Amino acid sequence: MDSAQWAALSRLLDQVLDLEAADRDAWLTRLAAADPPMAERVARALAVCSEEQFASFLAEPLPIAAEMLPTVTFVGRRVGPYQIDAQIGRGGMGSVWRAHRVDGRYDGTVAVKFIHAAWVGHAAEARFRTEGNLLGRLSHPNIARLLDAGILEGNQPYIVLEYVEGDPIDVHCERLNLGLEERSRLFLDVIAAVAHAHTHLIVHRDLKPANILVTREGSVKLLDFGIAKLLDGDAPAAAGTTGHLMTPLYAAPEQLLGKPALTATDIYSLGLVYYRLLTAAHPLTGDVQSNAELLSAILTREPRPASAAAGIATIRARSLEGDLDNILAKALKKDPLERYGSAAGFAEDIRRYLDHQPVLARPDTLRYRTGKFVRRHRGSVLTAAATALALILTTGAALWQTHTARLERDVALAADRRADSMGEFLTVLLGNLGNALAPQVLRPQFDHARELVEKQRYDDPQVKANLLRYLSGRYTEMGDMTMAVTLLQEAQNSIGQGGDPVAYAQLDCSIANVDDDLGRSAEADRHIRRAVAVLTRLGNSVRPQVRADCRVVESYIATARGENRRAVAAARTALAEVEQGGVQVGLQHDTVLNALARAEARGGFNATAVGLLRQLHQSDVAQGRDRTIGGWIHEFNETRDLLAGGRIAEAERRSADLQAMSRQFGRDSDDFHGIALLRGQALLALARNSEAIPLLTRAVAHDAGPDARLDSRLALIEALLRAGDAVGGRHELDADEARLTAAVQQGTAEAADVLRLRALADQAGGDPRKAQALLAEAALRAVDGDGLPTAAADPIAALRAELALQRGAAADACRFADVAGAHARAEAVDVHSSASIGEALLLHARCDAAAGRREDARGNARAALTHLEPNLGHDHPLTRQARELLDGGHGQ
Amino acid sequence: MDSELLGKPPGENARLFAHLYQHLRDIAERELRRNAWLSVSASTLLHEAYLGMANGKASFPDESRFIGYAARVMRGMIIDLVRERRTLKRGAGFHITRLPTEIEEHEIEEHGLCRLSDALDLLAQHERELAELVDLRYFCGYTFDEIAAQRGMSKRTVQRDWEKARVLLFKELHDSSGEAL
Repeated sequence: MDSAQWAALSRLLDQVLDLEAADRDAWLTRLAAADPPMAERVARALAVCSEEQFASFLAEPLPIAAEMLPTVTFVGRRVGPYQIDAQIGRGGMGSVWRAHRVDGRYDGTVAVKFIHAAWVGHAAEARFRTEGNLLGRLSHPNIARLLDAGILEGNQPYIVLEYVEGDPIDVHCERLNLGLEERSRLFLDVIAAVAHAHTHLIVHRDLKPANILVTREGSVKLLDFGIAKLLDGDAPAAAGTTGHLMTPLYAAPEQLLGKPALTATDIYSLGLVYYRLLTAAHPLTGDVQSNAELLSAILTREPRPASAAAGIATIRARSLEGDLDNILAKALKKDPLERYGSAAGFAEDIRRYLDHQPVLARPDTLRYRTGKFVRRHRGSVLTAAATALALILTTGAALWQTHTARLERDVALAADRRADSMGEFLTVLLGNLGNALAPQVLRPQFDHARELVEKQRYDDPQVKANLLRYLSGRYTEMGDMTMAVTLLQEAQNSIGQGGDPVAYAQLDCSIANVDDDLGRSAEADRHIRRAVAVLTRLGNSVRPQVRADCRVVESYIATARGENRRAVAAARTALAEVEQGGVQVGLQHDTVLNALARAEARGGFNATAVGLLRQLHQSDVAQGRDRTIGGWIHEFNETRDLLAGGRIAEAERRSADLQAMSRQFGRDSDDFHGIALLRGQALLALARNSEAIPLLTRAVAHDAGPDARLDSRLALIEALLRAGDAVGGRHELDADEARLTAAVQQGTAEAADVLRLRALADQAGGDPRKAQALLAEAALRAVDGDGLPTAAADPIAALRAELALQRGAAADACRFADVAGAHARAEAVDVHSSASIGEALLLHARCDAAAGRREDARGNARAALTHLEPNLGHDHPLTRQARELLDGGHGQ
Repeated sequence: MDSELLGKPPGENARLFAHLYQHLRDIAERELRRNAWLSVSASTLLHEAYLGMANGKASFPDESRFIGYAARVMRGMIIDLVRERRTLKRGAGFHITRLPTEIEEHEIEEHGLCRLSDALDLLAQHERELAELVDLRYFCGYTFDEIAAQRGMSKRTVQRDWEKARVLLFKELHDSSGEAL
């Protein structure tokens, strides 16, 4: 193409690219009429725009990893008496180089490790001097020697190690196809080396196959003895071994809990290595989906017996049963004190096994209770979480970026999962933090982190988006929804319209979620519809778990909009998605089940909801999560649905347990104000008004502010009125008059209840006609967005029956009692035993009596009693009334 | 320094190229030593390089002209680094000692980058600003706002030019008819 042609083409491209895509064809047609060859040239150029790869072509600046640049910096340089020859390894923590000694005193090859300064911390220099000397004295044929450690040019920590060439021990065993005895003998060499270090009070802290090499000559060499300590100082393991926090496959429970590493910590890791050598498997990773689940498994799950995990051709499962299972189980105890007391003891038992002598490890007579360990260390779990959090905040987003980026590439554990595993980990642990980290402490930290993230340039916009999304979640927890939305929008901007559509849609879901919390139901709906449309369009290229997350949000939003059928459908879709994704257990599965239960309950299907929540509770117990806040919430929801489904006494008992449990968490939050409301409502239903009123008063006090929900206020009003305090009830009604009126005018979900309580107040105040009119209106309002009756319908019908009885309209009363009964049966958890059904039957019995149908009245009263007695108790006014009707009928 | 030189392919101005290359690399290494785990921002590097050059003998009419030129040098440096890294990786065939991460690092496809670079040099012969735009945006990570400010253009124009450059380059790289540029 000559330059004139080029200039013409370039100018035409300017013109056409300025047009909207839709207008381009017309423009090309016009051009074709004037200059066909040029039109064809432009059209061919434009055609690339519709090619599949074009959207991502040069879409983001080339990521220039920091690691790319220093590769050249060390070759040829001197580090003490060593000269660097070549690079031999590299990772997030630093780089490893081969070097040789140039002062002629020792002409062996060495390995020099440079550690990124960020990993080491401030006190590094002194520690490198003292610890380095100590480690240098560690001399054992099976331990790679540490030759030197120091800091180059005041800012670059390094370690000089004996150069070892060989395979990791597991690779070695596989390559030579070794049998059980050969593997065990080799492993005894490993233990011997560890035992030697332990006698010098040096703990390895990071034993794993990659650190245990077997040379070509077949001798074992342990690498990096004591290095973890050199790097971390005495910092708790959770902070110091952050590099491993990401893949804590070989970490001992106490390390996750931030306890100092002991010799017993090495015993545990040795147990894992031995387990791996004998089975090629890990005892805890069976079905873990994420790092967070792995962490939870390390802390709470029983290791699978080795004999059940056998996976090596040369080793039969049978040969692992008994002694070896027992030996491994003892080494892998959660509690360090229950493991072998020393490496020598561990070795001795293996030797006894090989010599066919009785081993010392015994099978557990009682099932070992992991929960005990976690309970005893509850405080430490919190510390571990706090330390991890502090690490992120103090080392700043930059380091974190490295983590996140690496996490995303972590094929072994995360597959294509883009989830912020670090965030998930923190969410799991922080969920139990309670007041340990108050918002006023956290807020400045997160503000700081946010500034870092916002200012930092990121190679990968997705990383920035992930960080922003994570932070947004924290602001949500602190209650700053506005900031949460802002950050999510920034995250979307970071990805850009042309960026990854899945990530973009996920952010739409998150925004919808926060909008929903803010009560902006229309915006929430718009975002969620857009997200669901995109994810549906992309079909199977999106992980089912991602689609499920969005469907859960959709379910919540639909509920808020009163679209209960859509809520149930969305949650069911979510459940199908996660199960299609192969997830049968785990946090996400639980979240979906919980959402489905919520949607079912809101639609009045309490029996279904309770069934789902019982399933969840069993899963919580099985996974050791029943005493966590997540487990508490599941039980709370079940109790709430039991109450709504007429199982009042049961709900009251359970609400007492839940209240006691919430005190253990010691957290002051919405969830726990919720318990005051729930328990208050249960007591109110049991007519224990004097107990209900203080609880409900507290719930109202907690639930203050412009965004407060009305339900505590409504329950308090009802309690006061039912306790005969017409003045108090009226006072509470007036106290919130503006919001109550707004609820009625806007037709919110509470509107029907507001009208019913006004009617109740009018009835108490001696104005039954006004009450009657209000109830007629309330009944019309007690429908959801799908036109189906809501939970308010039953008490409205019951109150109308009551009013009809009072004014002597028996036929009306019977009609309303039937309506109440139909609602109660639809909502019952158990149609054979429900206080609401009982109440409706009692009303019917009373209208029968009023109409002179004595036998019908007695029959209904008898039926009412079977419902009322177990659910409201022997002495409840309604139970008594039913009994009196039954007996009275008899007496007459 | 004759501003005439700036439009010409780097080969014809080898001394300036080599000088700038070394200069950029020195700054990059110094920055990385100081701040080992951070990515260096290419735009910071170029700005510093300009300050360094401005103090020295070579002088450019203004920073924006300099940056445009230096961005091309930067591209060369990045491609070299990618090549070096690949060589190192190929050489590292045995396991020596562990690092906390056993995860494969992000791969930057060397071959694709070299082809892109060739296509850019070709594009520069026709329309230097377009190629420079790609150097600034893709290789140096400048934002459209920054580039617009540097060039005294509207952001919209810069974005339009960017689309044009992408279209032409994509065609050059994917079209086998050999007709594109």
